[in-house]
Amino acid sequence: MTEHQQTPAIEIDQLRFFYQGADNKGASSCEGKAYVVDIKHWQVPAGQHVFLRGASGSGKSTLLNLLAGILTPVEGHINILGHTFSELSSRKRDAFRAKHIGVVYQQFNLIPFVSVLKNVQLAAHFGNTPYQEVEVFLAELLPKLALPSECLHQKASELSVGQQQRVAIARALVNKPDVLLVDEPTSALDASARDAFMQVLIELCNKYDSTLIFVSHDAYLQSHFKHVVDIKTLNKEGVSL
Amino acid sequence: MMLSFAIDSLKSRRKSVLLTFLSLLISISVLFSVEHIRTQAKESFNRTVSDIDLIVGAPSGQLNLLLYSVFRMGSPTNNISWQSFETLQQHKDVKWAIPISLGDSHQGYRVLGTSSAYFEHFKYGNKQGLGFASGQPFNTTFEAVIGADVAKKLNYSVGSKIVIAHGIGSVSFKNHDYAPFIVTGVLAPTGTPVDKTVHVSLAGIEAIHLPPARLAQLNAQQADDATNVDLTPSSISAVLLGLESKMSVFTLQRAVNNYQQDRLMAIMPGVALAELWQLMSMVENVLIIISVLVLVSSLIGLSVMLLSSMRERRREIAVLRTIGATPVTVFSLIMTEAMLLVVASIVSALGILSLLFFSLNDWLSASYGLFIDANLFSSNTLVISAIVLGCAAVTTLLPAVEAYRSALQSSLAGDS
Repeated sequence: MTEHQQTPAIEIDQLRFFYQGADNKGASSCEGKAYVVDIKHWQVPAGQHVFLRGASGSGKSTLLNLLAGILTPVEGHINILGHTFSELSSRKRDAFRAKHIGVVYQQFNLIPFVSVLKNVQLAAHFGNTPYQEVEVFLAELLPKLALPSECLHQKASELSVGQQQRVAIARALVNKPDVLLVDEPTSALDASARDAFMQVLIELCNKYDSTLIFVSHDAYLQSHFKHVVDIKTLNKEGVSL
Repeated sequence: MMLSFAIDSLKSRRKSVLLTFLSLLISISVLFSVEHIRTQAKESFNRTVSDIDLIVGAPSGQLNLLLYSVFRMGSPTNNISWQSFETLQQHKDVKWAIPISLGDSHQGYRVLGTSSAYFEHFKYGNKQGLGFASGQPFNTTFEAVIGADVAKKLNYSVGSKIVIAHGIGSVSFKNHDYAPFIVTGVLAPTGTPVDKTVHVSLAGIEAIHLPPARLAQLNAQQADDATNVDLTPSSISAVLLGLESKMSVFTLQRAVNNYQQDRLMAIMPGVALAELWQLMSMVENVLIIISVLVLVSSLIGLSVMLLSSMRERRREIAVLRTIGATPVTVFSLIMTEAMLLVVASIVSALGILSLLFFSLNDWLSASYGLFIDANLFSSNTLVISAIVLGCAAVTTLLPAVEAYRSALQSSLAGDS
């Protein structure tokens, strides 16, 4: 994955991160400098699907936070779509995330007390996508996600976990993001739901030309990906497990 | 979008939001009603007397005299003699004099014995004279003129016969049954105690207090000639005076207070009212302080409600951050929720109070002589609303800043 076609979707340079203070996060920063994330260089070309494998506590979620711009690196740079993401002002970074980055977590992706439609509209609101497009977009997408159209006006909390995860994909894709970050999205799903989920995810990423970073410890899922990266090889040193 | 989201968020916390809303509603209502009653009471009292230069009665407190002579509250302590009235009436500085005789009632409404000068010279509000909705002033002994409320409540009109009872309760054991009065006029509404008064001539008052035998004699005579029985009162309760020149008020007041033939006291209504307000201002201030304290405590309740929702909100905030909300958005979301709640409380408080004052209007004016306008929408209300909103904004800063910080620190929800 070292070949350059155009601007890489993600480019990481000399990235280092540790949590300030004695935090109780997975990787502890005890004596000396124990970095949770320490990546010399990493590039992901646009449109590529990457499976990022690592055990829990290996810093992969932290890496995703950094890629999403919610955490900022202690050292080094993150370039997303040619923007030095890590050096934007926090307001610009939030706006950039809204427009260009979709995120799906293992759970609690949605605001429980508003409808599915509103959850997606909310994301559209921050990404400056017109609301009218949301309904068209959802009408097209819901059958693909095997979600009944009635659920549009149901509260998110009334859906099953599997359904919520699929709504989360819809929400993450509503702004046609260039980068989709997915973190253990299937951990709350059973085996059959998991395969269905993966299929839809890959299909939609292909459709929208999104770069996909899929993080999981589940080696079984890596069969869906051509490119597999182990976080330990990315993170050469400093990770204490 | 964010507004509807804030509404959804409030709905999802229905129970605590409802309780907070109630507490805000109560405290804001208290504040509004104290302020409204305060200004309205003042206005209603101030509009009751107009253009009366002096009130003369038996010596007591000047407030007491003012209250019974004009507001029909309380009872006269003592009477003044008819000679004194005549002397006053003939005084060179006096332009007009209205005699007032109190102490009787009709179905709970006060009966006022007076002369025709009353309809000519009595003024209320902004120097407005009394007008007749129908009929005319009384001419003979057994005729009466009733106020607008009396006519409305008791369903009387010109020509109705009424019976006057001694004393001022609505139930009296001593009805002056021999002396029915005929209504000759109904006054136009004034919004003052005049509306609640039955006016008869002084002779009428005298007549109902005659022994039954003499009254029968009078009734018999009345057909041809009533003047055989002397109905000139020996005493009256008070006199309202209008003077030729305002300059002579103090001279005359002094003269009246030093009058040798009778024990008299003269007061200026404006001065007596000012004394009343001075007396009331302490009570007013205490009421305002209490209502402000109640408001502050319920605003703190609002802040506590929002703060305690922070734990469950942490996740929502993380989700909002993920989809691109800035910490400022999260901050303003909390502020919006608080403002929505306070605005809703203010609007409901105004609605409920308008309804309440509207329905209690009659009772308040009947029992306390307070004429409260049901319309609360004044510039005063606007100012108070703005102050309440401002205070709410300040107390909401705490949870909003908490949310802001939570948004700054929030990392992705999946983080373990």
